[in-house]
Amino acid sequence: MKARLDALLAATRVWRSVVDPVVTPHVPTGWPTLDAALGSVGWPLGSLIELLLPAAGAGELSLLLPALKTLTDTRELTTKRWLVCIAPPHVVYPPALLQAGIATEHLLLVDATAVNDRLWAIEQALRSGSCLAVLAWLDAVDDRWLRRIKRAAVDSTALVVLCRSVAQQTQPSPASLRLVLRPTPHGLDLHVIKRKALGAIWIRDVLSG
Amino acid sequence: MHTPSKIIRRSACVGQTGDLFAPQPVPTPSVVSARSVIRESCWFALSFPALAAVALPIDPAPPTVVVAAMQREASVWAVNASAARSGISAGMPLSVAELKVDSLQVVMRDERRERQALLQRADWATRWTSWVSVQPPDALLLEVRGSLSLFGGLERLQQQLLADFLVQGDSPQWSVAPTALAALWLARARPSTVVESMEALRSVLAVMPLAAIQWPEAVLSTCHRWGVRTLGELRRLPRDGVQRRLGVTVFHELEAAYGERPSLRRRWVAPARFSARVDLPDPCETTHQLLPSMQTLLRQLEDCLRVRAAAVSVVRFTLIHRGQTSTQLSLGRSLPAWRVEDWVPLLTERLTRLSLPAAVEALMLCSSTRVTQVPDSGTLAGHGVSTVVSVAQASLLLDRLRARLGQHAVHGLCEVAEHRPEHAYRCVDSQTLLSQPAPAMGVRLSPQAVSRPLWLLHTPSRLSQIAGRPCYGGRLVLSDGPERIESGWWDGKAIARDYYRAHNPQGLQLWVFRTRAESQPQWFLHGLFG
Repeated sequence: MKARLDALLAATRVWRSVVDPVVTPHVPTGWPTLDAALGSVGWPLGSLIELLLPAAGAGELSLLLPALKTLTDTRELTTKRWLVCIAPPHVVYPPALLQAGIATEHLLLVDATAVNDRLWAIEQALRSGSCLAVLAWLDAVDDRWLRRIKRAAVDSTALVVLCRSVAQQTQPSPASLRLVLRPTPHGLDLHVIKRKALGAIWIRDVLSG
Repeated sequence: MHTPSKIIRRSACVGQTGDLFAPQPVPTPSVVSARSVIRESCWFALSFPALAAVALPIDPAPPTVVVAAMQREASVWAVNASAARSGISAGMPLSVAELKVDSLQVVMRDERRERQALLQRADWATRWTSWVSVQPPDALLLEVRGSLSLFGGLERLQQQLLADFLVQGDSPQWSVAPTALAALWLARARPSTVVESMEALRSVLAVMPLAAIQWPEAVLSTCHRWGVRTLGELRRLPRDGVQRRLGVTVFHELEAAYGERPSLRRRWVAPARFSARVDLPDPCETTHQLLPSMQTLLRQLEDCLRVRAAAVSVVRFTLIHRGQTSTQLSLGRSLPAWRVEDWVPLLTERLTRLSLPAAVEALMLCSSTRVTQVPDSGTLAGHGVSTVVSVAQASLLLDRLRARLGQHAVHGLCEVAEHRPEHAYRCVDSQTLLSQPAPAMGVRLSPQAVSRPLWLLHTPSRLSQIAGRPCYGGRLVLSDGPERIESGWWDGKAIARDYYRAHNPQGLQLWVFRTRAESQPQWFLHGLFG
């Protein structure tokens, strides 16, 4: 029976709603519970991820840190690739990055106050093909711009994360993965409100481990 | 004291092995026979008779003549191609030229532009030989002996060189001779002559009319009175008499043309900074109309840099408006670049955000000093991305962001070995960012036992207090601490603080400190662990 099923699934006539995890590149999140919620593979690369925060600095960097470390560790050693931070709310503090094992030589910070400049910078970073990850802090954005960024993200192989206010939760977004972050004294609660082919899910106390 | 004796011993030893290896007498720096040196050379002279017309920013289609002075009795200085087809030639009286063509365009000579155009051609000629000499007003001299085997002989070289100039829109007159001056005279008077030996040169020069040589009028009339018409006839006259009556300059030129006197010529060296100017046919009102002309200038820059395997890191456009005001537009690359494509993305970015105060009439391009550039050798069998390519991509992103957001809006950060948290990092310039691998900056502290927050506030923000306890969106709960940091008495930025890790009722993980210097302690927020 299994062999017959496998043969059927291997045929291209059958479309599966759950995307084959091997096909799209991923990077492990470093948090086992989150990995499990994301189809046991981790953050998807080359697609738009949205983190919705109650306030800037609510845990977005801590959440991404293991993935960023994996990306910088596994890149081709002779190549130059950036970790781009666009309009970070505060100083991304190098001593803390070093404690986390991330070399600061990859870090590229872009200060841009105008929303259009931020969006343009995101698109340029994605189109350049020289980024491991693009992290941007944004707020209310025109939907057309988000689609444009999503298209640029699909053409890239970078980890693309937009950090926005939790007030944007009710706004529709083309992002393929949306998470609401809720810091707690014990860690971080995550509410995955949108993910590919799967429903919403709550994950408790991610950072506590 | 020891060294000379050692040398003598060694030379004596060499002397014993036989005459073949006997020490050669040290060649004293004497004047080598001019004849023998010049016989080695092969001078390729190029003369651009239409240069005065081509150099001017005018429509090349209608018949045009250039005059040296606007007088009634002026004679034609140079003609363009279509005027030449109508039978007008240089030296013809202007009145005669106007009879030949109905609507003749008459323009004044512009020596500055002529000189610039000639230098541009000299620059172009350096791809055939490194030895180019500029002969104003309209000629170049190329010493091509050393290039003959590279380009496959004189004939092949000549064909390629002329084809190359034809592509540029030039059809120069040329000649080849063993002496520079003879080549120049032949190019002007008897174009397309190839003289390869001194014997042949003597017989060619013997029948050369004096009128074809640009000697002063007084010299030519004196010769005319003597009944001397050709160089050969002049050479048969007693030399001392010729020198006395025609002057030393003419006599020396004569000797130099025959290879009996070395003629010194200044070798043209390209300036270290590229600079070019283009006059727009119509004044441009909008920035996107400027782009094609700017690309033309950048293409010239690329040509100039490519033949020298060089690159530049800054180019500056000067947009010259009516009334001699100008707008500057600087483009910078963190890695030296040379291709047009390296600049165009930055240029379009800048142009879209540039507003012109007035219409632009001319453009100038200046570059920074050239640096030698080793071209990318690519990767073996196209596997992966080479380091050079990835660094180039990375630098392009950096430069593109900077072109729009400003030089200081894009930067890196690195750690500094320092206890005060606000001094434990600094911005990194682009050179350091792009270097592979990044050099270690300062002394790397061993990872601190106490963890540092991922976010540091630019300036610590004061927290309100309720009953002596700090508040930030509610009363804070202190967890780790205190970590006492007391440092910086030597540079006037001393701090004395107790740092704590804390969290507020919303669950934000904070890095706060309490000042110790004041009698009334204050609480400040300095970082977030988020």
